Amino acid sequence: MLKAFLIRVSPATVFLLIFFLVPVGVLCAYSFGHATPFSLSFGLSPDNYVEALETPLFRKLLWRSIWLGGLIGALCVALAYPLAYAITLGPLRRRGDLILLLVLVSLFSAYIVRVYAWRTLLGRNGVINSALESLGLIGDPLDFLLYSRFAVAVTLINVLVPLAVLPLYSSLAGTDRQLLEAAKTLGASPLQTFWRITLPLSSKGVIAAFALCFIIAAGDYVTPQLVGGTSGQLLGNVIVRRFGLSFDWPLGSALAFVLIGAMALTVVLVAAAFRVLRLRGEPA
Amino acid sequence: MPDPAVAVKDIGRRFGEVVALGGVSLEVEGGEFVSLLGPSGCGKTTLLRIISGLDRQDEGEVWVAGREITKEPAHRRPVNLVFQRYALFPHKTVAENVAFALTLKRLPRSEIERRVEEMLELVHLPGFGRRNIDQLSGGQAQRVALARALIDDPAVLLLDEPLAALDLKLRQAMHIELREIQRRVGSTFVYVTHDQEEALVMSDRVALMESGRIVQDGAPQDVYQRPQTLFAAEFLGEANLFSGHAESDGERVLVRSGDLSLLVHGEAAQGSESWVCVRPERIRIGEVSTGDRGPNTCDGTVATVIFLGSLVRYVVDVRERSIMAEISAEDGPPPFRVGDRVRLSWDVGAGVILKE
Repeated sequence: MLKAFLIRVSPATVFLLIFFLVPVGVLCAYSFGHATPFSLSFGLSPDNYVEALETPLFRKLLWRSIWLGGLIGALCVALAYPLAYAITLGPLRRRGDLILLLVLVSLFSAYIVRVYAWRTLLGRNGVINSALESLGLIGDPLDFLLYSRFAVAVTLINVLVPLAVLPLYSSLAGTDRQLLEAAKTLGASPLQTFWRITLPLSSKGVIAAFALCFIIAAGDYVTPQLVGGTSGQLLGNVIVRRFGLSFDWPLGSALAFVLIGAMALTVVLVAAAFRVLRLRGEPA
Repeated sequence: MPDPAVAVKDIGRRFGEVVALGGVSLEVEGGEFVSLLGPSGCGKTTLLRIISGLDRQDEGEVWVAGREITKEPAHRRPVNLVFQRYALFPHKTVAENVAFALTLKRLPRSEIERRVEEMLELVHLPGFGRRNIDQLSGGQAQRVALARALIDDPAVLLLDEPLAALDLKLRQAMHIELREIQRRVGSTFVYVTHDQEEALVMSDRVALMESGRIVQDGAPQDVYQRPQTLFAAEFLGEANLFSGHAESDGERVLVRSGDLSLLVHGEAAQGSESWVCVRPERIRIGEVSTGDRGPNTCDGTVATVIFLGSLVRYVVDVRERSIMAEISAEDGPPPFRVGDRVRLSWDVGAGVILKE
């Protein structure tokens, strides 16, 4: 029994052990340690966590990472849902496979290339500002377009929407169309059918898509670096600097764990909210 | 005359080149149990979906209780549908499923709970409210679906082969139960099925459909005993079919089919090619005796004897054709064996002349 079980789970377990638990364990060990200008020492001091949670800058950036990431995750789901619905249950379902393929193709282009593309679009002399100026709608270029939280959100949403389509697609594709028809004949308007049947039955996909986009967005540091300016910096940027320039791995590790904890908590809260609002798909 | 519970007028529906429904008209009285019977692909389910509003007709009108609902969306029609595969909401309990139509109307909770319990009792599932859908057997699931569809007193309940997924014994029990529930709630049922037995057992009226048309419409015994077309005769029950030249004397028709002559009541054009249907249970089987062989009589050899429990079916070779005769089974072995010479005969009233 036990042997068979171990054989079955062992490849995955070993993989997880080597590539996830060990690095995370090392990071965890660092986070309780101490850094001097020349060396790192391990220890058991909570100082780094205290600093991570009490420094106003860190708190501000942590909060910003969470709400901006959450907003991006929510918008990605909101944008991806209609597409996923249309190609599974909606009018485009006969072309569903083809459209899903096109969505996947967009994932082939490198993330960094697309971030740069948005820089060209959003910049002071970029396509959007030039177009608005030549139409006479604005006198001076809009500054908030680039180097702002807005730019971070637009860029990350653009990068992440195709990713959000995948879990939504798989959960909606498993939904029986006849359930929607049954709701309709029983008197449910399209909106009522959506809130009472379609959304609860696809809630796993919604939560998975949100978690995927939220975790990537809240933990990102490349996009804020390239298009975020000062107001668009996230906690990830601070963590990178601890590991790079200031060589303070213990504090960087502690910040990383704080961020991971906050992200996990957010995902759990979102999932719980679905349950409280009776939007979860499992039987009660 | 009160308005019919449902009336469809000249409903036409095409899927590309295929004509699914070609001008179907049907009226169903309040409290009536009408079956739409036909082979798969005859358009019966399409007609049901058009009445429910889940599908659109290309032409024609749909009326329910004296009101035209041709352009109303499905959720505004006072019509509910029971699906073959139950279509219960898997994320809701039995009670939540049954309550669905009422919760949409935001009725008070106590009222909803009372109605749900009433409905569960009606379908013989009292106290099942807290169960999950995956804890139900097929028969229970279909009863829950029925309760869910009846709770808001629809003007008409449409049923799309609701028993097709159940095994035979359960299906037969459900025939009787469904009929009883329908009588108790006094609701109007339109029932789609390809199973002739189901249609004959349950319905007040059977509408027989073939390639997008209703070909015959009447009481079950009428449709069975007086089929009007070759299709009706063959689709409902077993039939012996004969074709030949008809000679009419105004009241009766004599059809000569090979060396057989069949005398039936009815009318047919003089000298026209006609079909006659004789049901196997109307044919008598006996010893060959000397004496006159009039019409509706022939001699043959028993080719097959099939024991059906309450009936014995003989397949008798009469020259190049086979005729089926069924008699009720007596105690002991069947009186005739394979190879026996027998005489078949039937009354003038047993045969029906078919249009076509």
